Amino acid sequence: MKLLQVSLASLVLCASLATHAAGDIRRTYIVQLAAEPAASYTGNVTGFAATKPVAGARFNARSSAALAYKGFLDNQHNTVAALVRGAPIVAKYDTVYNGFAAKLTDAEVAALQASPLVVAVHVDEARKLDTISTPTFLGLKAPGGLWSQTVAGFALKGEDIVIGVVDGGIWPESPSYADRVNAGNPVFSGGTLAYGAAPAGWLGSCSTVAGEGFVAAQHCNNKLIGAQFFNAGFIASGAVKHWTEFYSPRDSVAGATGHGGHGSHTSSTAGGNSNAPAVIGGLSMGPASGMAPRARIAAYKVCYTYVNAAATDGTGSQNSCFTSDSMSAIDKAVADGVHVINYSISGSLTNVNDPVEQAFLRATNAGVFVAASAGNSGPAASVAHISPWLTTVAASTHDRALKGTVTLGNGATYTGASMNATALGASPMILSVDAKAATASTSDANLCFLNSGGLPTLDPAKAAGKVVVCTRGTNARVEKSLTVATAGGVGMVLVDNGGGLVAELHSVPTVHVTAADGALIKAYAPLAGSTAAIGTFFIGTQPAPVMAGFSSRGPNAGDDNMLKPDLTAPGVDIIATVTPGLSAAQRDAVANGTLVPPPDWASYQGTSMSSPHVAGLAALLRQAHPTWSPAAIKSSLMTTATTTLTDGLAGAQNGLLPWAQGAGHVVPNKAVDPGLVYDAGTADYIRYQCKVNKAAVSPASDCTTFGTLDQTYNFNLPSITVGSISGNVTVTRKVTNVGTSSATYTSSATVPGFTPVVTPASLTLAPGQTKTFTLKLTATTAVANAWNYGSLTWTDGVHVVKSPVTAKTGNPIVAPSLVTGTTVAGSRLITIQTGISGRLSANKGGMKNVSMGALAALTGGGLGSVALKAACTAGVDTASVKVYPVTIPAGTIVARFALRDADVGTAGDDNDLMLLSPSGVATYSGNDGSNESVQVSNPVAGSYKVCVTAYGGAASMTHLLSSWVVTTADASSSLNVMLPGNVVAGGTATVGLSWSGLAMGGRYVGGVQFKDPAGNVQATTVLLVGTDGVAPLADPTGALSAKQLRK
Amino acid sequence: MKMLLKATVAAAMLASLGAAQAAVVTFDGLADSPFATSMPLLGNGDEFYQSTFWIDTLSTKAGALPGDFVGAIVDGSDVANTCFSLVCPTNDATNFLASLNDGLPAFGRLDGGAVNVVQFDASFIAASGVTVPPTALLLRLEGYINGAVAAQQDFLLPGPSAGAYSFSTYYASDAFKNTNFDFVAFRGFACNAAGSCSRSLDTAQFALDNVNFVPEPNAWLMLGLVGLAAAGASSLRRRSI
Repeated sequence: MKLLQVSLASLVLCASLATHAAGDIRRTYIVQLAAEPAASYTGNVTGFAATKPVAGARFNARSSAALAYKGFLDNQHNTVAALVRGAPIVAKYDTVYNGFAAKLTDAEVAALQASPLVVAVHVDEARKLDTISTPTFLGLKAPGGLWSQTVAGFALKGEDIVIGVVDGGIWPESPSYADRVNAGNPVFSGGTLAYGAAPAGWLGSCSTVAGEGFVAAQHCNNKLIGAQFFNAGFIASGAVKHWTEFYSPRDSVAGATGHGGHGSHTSSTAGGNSNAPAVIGGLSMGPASGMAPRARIAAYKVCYTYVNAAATDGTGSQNSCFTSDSMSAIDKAVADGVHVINYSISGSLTNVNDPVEQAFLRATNAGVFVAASAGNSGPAASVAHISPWLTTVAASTHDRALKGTVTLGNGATYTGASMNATALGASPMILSVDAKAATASTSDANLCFLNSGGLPTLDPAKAAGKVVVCTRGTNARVEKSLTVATAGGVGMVLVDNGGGLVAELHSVPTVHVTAADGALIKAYAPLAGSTAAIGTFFIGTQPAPVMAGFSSRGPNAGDDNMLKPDLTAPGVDIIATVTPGLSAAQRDAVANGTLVPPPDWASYQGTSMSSPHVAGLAALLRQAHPTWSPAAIKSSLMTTATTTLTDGLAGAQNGLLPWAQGAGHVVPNKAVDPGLVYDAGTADYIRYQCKVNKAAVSPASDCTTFGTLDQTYNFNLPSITVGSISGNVTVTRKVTNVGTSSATYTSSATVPGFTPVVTPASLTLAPGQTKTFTLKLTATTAVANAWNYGSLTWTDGVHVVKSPVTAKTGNPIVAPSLVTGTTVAGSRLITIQTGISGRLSANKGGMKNVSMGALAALTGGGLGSVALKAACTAGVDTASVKVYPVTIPAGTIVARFALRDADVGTAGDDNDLMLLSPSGVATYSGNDGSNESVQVSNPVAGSYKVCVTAYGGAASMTHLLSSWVVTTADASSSLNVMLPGNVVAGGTATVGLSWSGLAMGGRYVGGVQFKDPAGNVQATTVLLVGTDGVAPLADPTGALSAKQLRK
Repeated sequence: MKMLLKATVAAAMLASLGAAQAAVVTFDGLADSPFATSMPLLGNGDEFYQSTFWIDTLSTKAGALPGDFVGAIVDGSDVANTCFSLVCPTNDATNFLASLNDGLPAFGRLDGGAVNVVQFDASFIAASGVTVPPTALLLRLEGYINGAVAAQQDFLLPGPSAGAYSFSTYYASDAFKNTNFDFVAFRGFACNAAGSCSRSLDTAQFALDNVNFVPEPNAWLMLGLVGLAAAGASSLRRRSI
């Protein structure tokens, strides 16, 4: 049998080569090699000493051991690269990731995959900065109110801690990065030097590569101690650099068509100087400060703006961050010796084997704390960065708000969000739908689109001189006020859609009111003689924190036994330093050093803004507790968090649930003294990886040395989540006393629908001592498949250590939802959990090869999930939406639809995919790029629609839809299922699956329905087998539900 | 009918084996068996062959039906994939037999000759997510004569070490080596934390490899119609387990 497999492996290679003989197009890939990178290397290669730092120490890239081991890795890189001679190498990685990026043909990918030195080959992907898109469509930078210091008065300021920011670069003229101080204010010249030389252990530098508009000696100083840029992946992508961009560490220019400012915003939020005077439009907004204002900043630029005529925000340009460049930056940051990394860039929703996630694992092993943004795709379930070693940050409001009032002719006054600087007297009012042009659609008019069907949406004859009432949604908020201004309107009342109020600059005086207030205003506006007056903005307070509507919610789509996000922090109306809007001539003058540009400031919102808050707080905790691990810092922030206030959203999207706020809102003053921490280290991460991602573990013997985590709910997180309980479950945790004295902690736990029992119920721990406990959850009244939310608390009378507990009972039969394979024949032994006794039966279907749709061409439309659902429901093809009607027959086991990057016309095209059931339930896949899949198991028979939308990309975006509808009628000998003779309630049993006789080059789907003794289907396992040399995208969208409504 | 067919085919296979005298069942390089058509998955009543041995995989449950899932041949170099949500031993890169769901594997000679066990490699196999005590399985080696257990020897297989399982080699007693059994079988009992071991919960699961038997140098020469008859007889005897 072994020989047979060897010969099959060679067949795979030959077939791939034959299939792709004509595929000489080079794309950028990240090639992962087997040995551990230097920051995680534990000394298992003969002749090379360990280079992984001990606890509390930083990785030393210049130690003789590190240099020697990196030489070993370099040789390995060269050996593997020799397999693909002629392939351009884009970048090499050796500190937090072992491998390299290269431009490869399909045949070269296959050749590399066949090498035992290669663990995996990943496609380089373009990712986005996580700012909520307040597009620069109008050249308006969104200003905001005074920024609330959530840690004001906190004694620790990040002294000698280095924060690395992997983002869009830095604007070095901002006082946030000055190293001198004059009369308490940060300055670049005069005054006194406020910072000494770079802290000990810092091995980084300012860019030594000559860059546009950036001179190390001039722009770096003792505050901004590192500034580097990584653009090999960007250049390799073939994208055309936009004129606002700089090939240097300098953040790109903002303005009408630019996208700069994000990198400066995030870095100054994390570690910018205190007392930096924020000035917006000449108006002083008061002093701004980073969370760790005494920390040093190292900027690693990986995001670039490029020309894209079809950009969905109408700017003609787009900003992306390529994975391969992020990898280079993370690699360098750890080698440089940063203590903390902030990563406000999008990431995988499902895959911990993503190269960036893996690089962050090695960074964590080297003692570097990493904060990452949860994503801005809320309020649907869409949380990104799901790896347990990351601290994944959601976004919520803070208590200061920029407010304004609208006063109606009937005397009613409504207060909303506003940045309006010019009062507007009582003016006639009109609803936007009543001011629509004859050619415009009512829905476009309601949303105040600039154009409808290519013509202006609003009729100037109706709107001129009036305050227009527009509804939030779909298009940019600032586009709506531009629409009003274009039609001659003098003011706008913007009625919210549940997303949360936003104060920003608009083209006409504007107040953004709640949906409830808006309903009253909409009722009044059509009355004869209606008027509205809009006042100037004022700084008010508001109840806070409340979860932001845009903040991506859980559950974790990659593992429902782990909670994500981890916690929340301020991410709405955050003022920080950005980049100014410059003309092309001014930009060129900055680039050649003849113009010293001004700093600028703006209010942004997004999980991009909340993540650097946590990065900054982590710097403070790192300063307070130099020996704490990244996991201990994360634990302290989570177990001391407090709940947010309700956001009023219904169901699983409600902000009070852990899906939105994680453990809660950070309370840094308590986090510095948490009492207990749920710690985790390299061994825990290895055990976890051996469970979920074994192929990435190197050396493979680590899974024997350290063992394999039995269940991911037993990973030692400060949160407890169990996705499928049959009867009962016992969860294991360990806690460490980080207090200064021995203490006895007693437990209390409540989980509705379950009886929770903590064993032992109390723990006495000496300082530094670690003890293990279990939480047994026994289902009582829990309803099957419904989440229950509770908590576990340990207290010694001084400290309160609180963890969210989320638990769900499963069906009477629980089976893995997805099993994958890559061979033409194979077998899988799976464990099923049973809540019933007796003899089971099963239906099977498949294996069934893919059915490819005809080539379809669309134009980018920027439709998010809500608009796509509307178009899909309408069921008619549009310029940007292709509707595929699909009949799902009775007896269907699984229906799966997919798009692939490989099947689109132009690399980088972003297509999204939706499946709409007969009852109107949508399953959505809206990743960056076009690797999308939607899948539904055991669907109700009927007429479904599969809708593909071109989100953005080339002028003409083509795609091929991959389809599988697998029914019981598709049962064949290519899939075999064997069941145990009987099962017992509360037990487990083993089921055998095997497949055989598949052809090379296929993408097969099969399915098994497990039936209880009464013959009812209780669980479905889907089997994906790709024999085309590419591992199937394990990206199930799970049950038919209205999840992942994003964008 | 099936048994008769098995005996005929078994004899034909034996005739094709040449003079091989190996007395170790390794589960490597197995030929297709018409009585194990779902190979590598194995059901109750399946039979396959290696060297001069037949191997049956059986269920002892009340109400068991032919084909109930009781085992699989696992490629040890691919356990990470094959043992999808089982925890299989990781220190054997060759094929091994996974006996699952309280299954009972039995071994006999195709020529009906005497069976004497010397040693074998074994490991517990756990379901993912189940807490396993330090002693995971009582594995009972049973020797059959005339359809009844004539001797037995118990082996205790350990629970996980750092979450993982490994094969260990276990040695039969001299009495076991020296007694001529008709065939032998391995019966697992899964143990709980209190040390009570049972086989009714589908949790008696174990991996088996390199089962060493005392060679019978003259067996091949003696084979003929007598051997064929003996093979048939052994199959019939197995039904009485």
